[in-house]
Amino acid sequence: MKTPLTAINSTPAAHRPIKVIRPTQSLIGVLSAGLTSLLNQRNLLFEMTLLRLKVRYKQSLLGWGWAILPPLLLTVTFTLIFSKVIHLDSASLPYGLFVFAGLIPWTFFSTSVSTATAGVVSHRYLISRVAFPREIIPLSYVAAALVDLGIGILMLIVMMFYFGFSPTLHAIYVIPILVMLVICSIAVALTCSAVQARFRDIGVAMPLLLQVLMFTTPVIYSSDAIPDSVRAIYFANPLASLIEAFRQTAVLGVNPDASKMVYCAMVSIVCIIFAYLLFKRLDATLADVI
Amino acid sequence: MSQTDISVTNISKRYRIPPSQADGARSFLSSVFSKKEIWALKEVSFEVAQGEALGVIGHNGAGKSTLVRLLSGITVPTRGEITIRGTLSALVEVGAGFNLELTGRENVFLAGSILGMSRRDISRKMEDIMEFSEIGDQIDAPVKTYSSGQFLRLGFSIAAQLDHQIFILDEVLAVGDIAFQTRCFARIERLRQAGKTMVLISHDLAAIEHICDRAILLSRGELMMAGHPRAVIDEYSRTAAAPGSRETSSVATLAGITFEGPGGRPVRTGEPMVARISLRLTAPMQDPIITISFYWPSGYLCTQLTSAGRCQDGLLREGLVSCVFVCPVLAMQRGLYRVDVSIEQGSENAGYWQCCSLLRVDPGRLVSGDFYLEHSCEMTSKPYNARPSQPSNFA
Repeated sequence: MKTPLTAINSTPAAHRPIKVIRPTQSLIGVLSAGLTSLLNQRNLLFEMTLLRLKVRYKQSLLGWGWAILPPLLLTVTFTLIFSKVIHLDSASLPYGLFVFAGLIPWTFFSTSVSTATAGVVSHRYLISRVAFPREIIPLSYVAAALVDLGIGILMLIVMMFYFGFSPTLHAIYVIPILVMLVICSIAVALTCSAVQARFRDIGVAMPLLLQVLMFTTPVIYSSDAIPDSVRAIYFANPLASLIEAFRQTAVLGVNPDASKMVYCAMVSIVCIIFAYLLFKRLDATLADVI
Repeated sequence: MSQTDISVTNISKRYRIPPSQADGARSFLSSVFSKKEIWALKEVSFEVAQGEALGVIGHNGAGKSTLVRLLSGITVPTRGEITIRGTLSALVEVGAGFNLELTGRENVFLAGSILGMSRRDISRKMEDIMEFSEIGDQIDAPVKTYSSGQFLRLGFSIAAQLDHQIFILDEVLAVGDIAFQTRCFARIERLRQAGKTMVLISHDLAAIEHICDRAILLSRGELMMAGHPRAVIDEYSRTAAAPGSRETSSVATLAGITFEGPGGRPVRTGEPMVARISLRLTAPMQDPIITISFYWPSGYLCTQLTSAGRCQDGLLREGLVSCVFVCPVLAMQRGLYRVDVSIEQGSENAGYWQCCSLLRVDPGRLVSGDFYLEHSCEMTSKPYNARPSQPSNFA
């Protein structure tokens, strides 16, 4: 037998990092230690995302067709209902294109949050046996949903040409909008998945919460219909601004509202910091309660 | 004086158990307000020096697994502090990260990255992993088609490639068949020679005695003793027989059990052994059968001594009963065996003492294999004559 002796090198002078395990650590300590370990194991994030993509459509007949089918089917359904049965104002866009451009960012958010929430609990066995940065689990679900988002955007471009719209240079503003959307999704995914590990109520309520959230963001209707008296509350939810801005920027080439975007950026940053600290705090004893 | 790699200072770990988890639906209110507290570890302190191998022994529920989880960073202590100097890896059920749908090779990449290896590292070590695990061509088949043995072997083989400075080994020796265990031992031996620091948790006391420099004994979350492995194991076997060990009897109590070789010497393979049991009976028993069972560290029954068919005492009166078994030649190989004692009346079980003692067999007549076969041997020689040899049937 060939001995894998080469794998063992005994260098007493080798760097020996010092790690202290304590009941609770300062917030700064949590932040720096957490980010360092996350950076060290970025390979795991890659592998886990790969796993999500590989496993997702295994043993299914349609395979990757499932990445395209749900938003298409929803678009057709909503188009039939809201342009033929009940007429909805779609901001001078063909309704099919209008609703598809809203469903793409929305589906990304809802898939990220719901799969990440269920995902942490389904990794119970791994979490209680191996130490690794656990935030990688929800992050990998968000990253996998990001691939779907990419596919969705390609489909959107095809659809725009079909309806006679061509992307303009202003569409470059889609990038910061998507970055903020991803940050918000990560923040919600981290929070929900960590709390779900303790209280399964989150998972039970998730479909309902997502449905409520979808109807309170301009996915299937235009925000022009929102009365002025509640606009402030309506747009307090950054998702509402982001989804509307995505549609307007990508399809119409309209520059997004600067003040709304600054607001979204601030909320995203505050939320991600809060969510990460909460996740790490709950993560310390996650293996005991999951 | 070498440096301290692991320093555990007054750690305690509390688990809160909801009172009626069996009822299924646990509501928020009941789980917050009435939780049962369990202290899995209480004020435990110890240190492990660089290059040292520490064995951890204790009964089930003594806190061994909790200690592993704290050392490896899976969870944090409720009180106290652990300082670890060096890169640490815990080899605990490494197949944990496997996904059944993926192939063995894909899982190696996944599990390897969970353990903190880079993609390049893993590719480089793939050969070694395949060789160590003996998976062969099946590496490209989904792991759901693997046998449980292959599954565990692949898991351990990945972890065995880690090039860390401190290793926590939790019952890894229970993985796989004898041949694989032998290779694991060889691997551990090499890690020891390379000066790696090691914490070994095992029910295999013989392995702890063989590998470790020092051992600690945990009992109900408390550190009972630290010292030379042999002394700690002896203490463990004494406390194992103490009241509190699992005994189930209403008519009899086990008063003592001893094993000795000729002239009171330690027990050795190939030499005579005498086993003495004393029992206190609170009621008379008709035709009782007393049995001593010896178990391998793996939990398999090795052999038994029984009074059935050897003892026509008839009635045993209440009071102190002594039972002596004499083995002219001990066939059991060197090692530590778990001892259970039972007493039966008719076909009814009148008393059972699980794990009530340990039998240590020292090397005596050295043979390899599972047991020693008492034998004699004669050699003769005949003068060679030049007669042609008979045609052989084996040709």
